[in-house]
Amino acid sequence: MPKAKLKRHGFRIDMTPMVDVGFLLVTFFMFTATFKSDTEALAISLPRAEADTTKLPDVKIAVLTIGMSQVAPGETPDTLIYYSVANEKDRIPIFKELGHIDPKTNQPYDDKALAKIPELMIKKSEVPAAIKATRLQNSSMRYAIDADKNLSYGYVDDIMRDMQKYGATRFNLVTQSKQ
Amino acid sequence: MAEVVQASGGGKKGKKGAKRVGVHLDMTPMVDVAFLLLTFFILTTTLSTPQVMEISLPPDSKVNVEVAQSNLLTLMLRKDDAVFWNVGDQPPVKITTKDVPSVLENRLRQNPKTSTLIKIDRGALYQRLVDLIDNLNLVQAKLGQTEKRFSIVTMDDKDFQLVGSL
Repeated sequence: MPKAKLKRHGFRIDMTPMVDVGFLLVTFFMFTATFKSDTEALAISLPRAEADTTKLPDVKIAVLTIGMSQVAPGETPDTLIYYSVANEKDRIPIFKELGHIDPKTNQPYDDKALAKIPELMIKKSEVPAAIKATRLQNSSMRYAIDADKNLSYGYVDDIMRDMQKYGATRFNLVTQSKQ
Repeated sequence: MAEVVQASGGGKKGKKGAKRVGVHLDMTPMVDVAFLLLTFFILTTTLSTPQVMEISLPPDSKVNVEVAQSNLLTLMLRKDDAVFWNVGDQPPVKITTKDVPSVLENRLRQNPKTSTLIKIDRGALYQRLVDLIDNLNLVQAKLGQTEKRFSIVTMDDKDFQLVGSL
């Protein structure tokens, strides 16, 4: 007796719409993605606040990031300051003014190299110069201090006073919502 | 992967001579890669932008701003998180950080013209400053006051003497 043949049901689903949506999402996420920058290596834990829910503007803003370097347990972390300016047009002359040395060439950074670095690690003593250069470059620039909540206030105060002294009297403290 | 299939004989109405060639392209690997990328971008993207809290300081710290003593509420924050408050030159009262909202609410309700001066120890945590300003903002929002009148200074020796033994 021949075996009864199992009837195979082949079925097809039209996956075109799904693939369309898939690619649309890929494109969307590719354009909105912001990649990890140097400052994220600092792993800043932001102070929590709930009253003011204004978002950090993304144009015409200069951000001073103050964080602690990550070290092996037992070592004292260093406090590091990064300075970033949102628009490239303003950023290049400001960073040039600070005259940092490019470790690759041992020469001061040129325009090409500066265009590639969104933020510059600066010393605490360079904060006044950075603010001054920024004010001269674009007087309508807004400022924000992005500091780790576990820093001692004195450190942040020094920077606030420097900003005040060089005319950046209105600024923002970056926080995170409590939820 | 890709195969070329002869269209089966053409329909009855198919034009003579026009050879139709259907191309079947196996898109599975491309779709696989696309979804892999999709997953990657979804996982690495950060959609939440941080919030900000606005601070306004006087242009020059040497300029004295005159405030009537009865309108001046001073909040002092010591390194050990003890908070002291007083109005004008009355003796400071020790409270804890939990009591700050109720004290602020009382004072601001009684006297809407109150200017708050935050005096903070340089050794205190930065989070404490943010907490104080946040509390102030919350209370002001609750009472419907929009004008922000506060200033931040560090505690000096005189302040330490005043609250040191409390």
